[in-house]
Amino acid sequence: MDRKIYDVIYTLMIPEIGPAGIGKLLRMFGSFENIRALTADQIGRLKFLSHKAKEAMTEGAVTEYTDKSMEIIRRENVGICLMGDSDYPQSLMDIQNPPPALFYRGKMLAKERRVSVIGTRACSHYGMAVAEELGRKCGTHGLTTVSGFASGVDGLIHRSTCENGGRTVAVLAGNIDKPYPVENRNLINPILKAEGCLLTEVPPGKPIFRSDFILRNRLIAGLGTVLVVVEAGTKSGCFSTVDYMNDIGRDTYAVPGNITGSKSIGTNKMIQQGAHVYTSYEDFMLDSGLGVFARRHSGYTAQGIELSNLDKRLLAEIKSTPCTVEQLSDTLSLDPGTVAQSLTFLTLFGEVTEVTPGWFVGKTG
Amino acid sequence: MIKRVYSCGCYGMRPFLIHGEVDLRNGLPDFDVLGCAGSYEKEAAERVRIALKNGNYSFPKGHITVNLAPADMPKSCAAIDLALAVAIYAHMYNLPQKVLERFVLVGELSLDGRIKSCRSAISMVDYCLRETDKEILIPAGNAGETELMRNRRVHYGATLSEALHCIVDGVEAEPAAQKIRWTEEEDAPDYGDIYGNAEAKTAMMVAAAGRHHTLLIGSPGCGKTMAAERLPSIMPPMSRQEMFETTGIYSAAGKLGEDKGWISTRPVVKVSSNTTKAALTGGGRIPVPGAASLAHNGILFVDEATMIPGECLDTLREPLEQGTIHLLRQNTRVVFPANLLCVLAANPCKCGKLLDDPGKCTCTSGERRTYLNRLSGPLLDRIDLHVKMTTQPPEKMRGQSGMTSQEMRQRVMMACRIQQERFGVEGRYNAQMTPSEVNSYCALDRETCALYDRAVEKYGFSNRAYFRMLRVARTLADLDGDETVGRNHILGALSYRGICSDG
Repeated sequence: MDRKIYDVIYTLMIPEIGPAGIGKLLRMFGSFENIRALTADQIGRLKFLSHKAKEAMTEGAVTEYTDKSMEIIRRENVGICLMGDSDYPQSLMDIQNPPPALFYRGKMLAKERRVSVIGTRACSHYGMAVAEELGRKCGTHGLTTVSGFASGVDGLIHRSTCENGGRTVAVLAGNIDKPYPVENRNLINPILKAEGCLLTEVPPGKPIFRSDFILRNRLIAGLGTVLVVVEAGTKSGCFSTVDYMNDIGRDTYAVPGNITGSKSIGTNKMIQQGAHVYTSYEDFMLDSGLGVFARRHSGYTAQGIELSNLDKRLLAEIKSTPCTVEQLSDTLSLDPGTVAQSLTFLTLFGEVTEVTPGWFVGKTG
Repeated sequence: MIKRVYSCGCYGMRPFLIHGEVDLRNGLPDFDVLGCAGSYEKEAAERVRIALKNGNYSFPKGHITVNLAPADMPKSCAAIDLALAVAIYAHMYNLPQKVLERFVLVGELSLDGRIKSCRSAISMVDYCLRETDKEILIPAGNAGETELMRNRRVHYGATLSEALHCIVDGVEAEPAAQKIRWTEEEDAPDYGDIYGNAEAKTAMMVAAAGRHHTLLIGSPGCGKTMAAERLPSIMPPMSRQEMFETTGIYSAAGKLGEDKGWISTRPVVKVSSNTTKAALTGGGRIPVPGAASLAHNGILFVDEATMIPGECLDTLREPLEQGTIHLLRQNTRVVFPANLLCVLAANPCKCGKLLDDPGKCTCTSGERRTYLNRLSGPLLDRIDLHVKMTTQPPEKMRGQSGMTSQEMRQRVMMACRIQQERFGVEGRYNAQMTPSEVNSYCALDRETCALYDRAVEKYGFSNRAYFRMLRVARTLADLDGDETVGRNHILGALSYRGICSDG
């Protein structure tokens, strides 16, 4: 088993090679074992490999990387799933050049309904609110979410799914030992605690490259039955994920947004180009065929805390549009100090979230 | 024969007596000064000679030798001119030594015989009155700063002649009556000038009452500087001792100016991001107080704190922790007082929009994370309050402005009284509480304790942050006049936790 893994990682560690290149090598030489055993001569004749790749292979650099990678796997107990293993997600087989190996932490994917949710890194308050609600509802109803662990919408989806008792799968663009981006590392524990999973096709120890982000998107597409795009700008990477979905014949839902706001231009365009419109969670569930809710989970909150009248008034006022202490105190004609205290209290118990410093958003619906 | 004469010098903020011996003997005319830095010799000789001549006093034709002791103390020698001139006069006109023994003479002479004001006059007068039994004669220009110390042992002289009249004939020269310059209350900047940002105003009350060092975070133009510079309007009025100390520091720094009286409003010293370590601590051959000391008993406002070099921020540790600045010199150590209230101001992120409208913030998440972390480290240890300020919408600026300084000051004064009772000494505030004091004075009931523990866990507070929140809560309780720290005070304190580092 170790040998097999070693061989696969060896091929994955070749610099400047992508899934297409790996697929080509496999077709030419039959197995990963054969690829590793290639002579310098044979390597030299491969025209589709870059100079750097060939050099690394012949000079033993790739062996070094692979050894280091194996060491990390051993030391940190990284989970590995090879194509052909029983737990390799079948839905991934639909994509072009599916990953030969998945490196993961947490509970590996099982047969379950999954929805992929993605969005821009620089989301607006509207996007934040939609993401929070979707994550929460999926979590409460036992629907696994899949997203890219990026800042912005992805992070929010992961977080609100976990906090509501649900399972979420984070598909990393880079390696699993140093998850990117750094600021989302505080999500790792909650995700694993909620029986979620972090996975990637990049072997441990391999540095991250720009191209990895788009490649990761095809995994997101492959893992979800349906894709929801929460908010995207004109040139968003989300478009690539939509393309991948289209390639494998699965549906995309896009959340419509403000035509004056820049953040929704992409999602609106997707709708124009034929994506389904996401208008509400309930409609989405019915329309997409994800069907009846599997289980109800009471979630993380509601621990019998006593809310004062003031707290209740505030909760009624705060909706999905984030607001500040000042705004609330003006609207409700209350002293800002009292409002701040109440908000802090409500945040402590999860009724309200401070999405960015000073801006609070409540639970919708 | 030798005539002895006395003057006063000031090193750091410590005055000391200068014993001058002036010897006159026959020989080629010459003027030697021992015990002083090089160029002084030539200059003094000329100033004293011309001043005497212009006053129509005769100047000896012999060899004059002056010895100034203690020789190893650096002296700002110009202020000794007057003493030398009087000594020479004493030689020429047979003034008895016992007359010279009575006085300490301070003042620099200009060529026409006028006496120019000197630095640190207030400290010198105080020293002289307390530590010696001599009378002191100082320049009339320093009358303002010594107004409150007027005494039959304090004399003034505007010119050499006046000084000599006073010494020889006992004729007092009355300087023009100086009024102490109290700042008019109506002119003082008021918190009523700030519209909105009510949370920040409350935070300023907390800062003023408990002397909590503060970090103001907000976009450019939202009012951080205004908030900081109005702190003196809500702090308790300066006590006599505080006024004395601050005036002494400004006098030593030469920032009092002619005829100015005691400083009666708390100073606000603004430090910009291109400040240097030396500018903050002070220094020089004869150490002069720096910005941190000029803010003693007042406010030190550090704008654009994220742009300040780390080593400068580090220099502020000592004032914030101990209220002093120590300067080490070859032979001596100089201590300047620097008991200040520090207010740092910073943008929330590189583009500045994070607090006002996160949607418009163009910073990457990495940039946001690292921007305020530039402040982390030993300095943030001592900052108790992190206050967010936002740009107010136009409607706000046309309406009521919210709390005014008068209302705020009342509550602050009440809190200060409570603290004085609590600690039993003047000058001790909540921000200085040690952890065991925090535990005794900020005991929480079980429910509030559970609430606080939950917050500590949720926000990942360090132990340092744990105590910090409690100190702030204690001040909030004092501002409300409550004896126990309650749920609301804890929640209030939590709203001032940090948005950077560990809270």
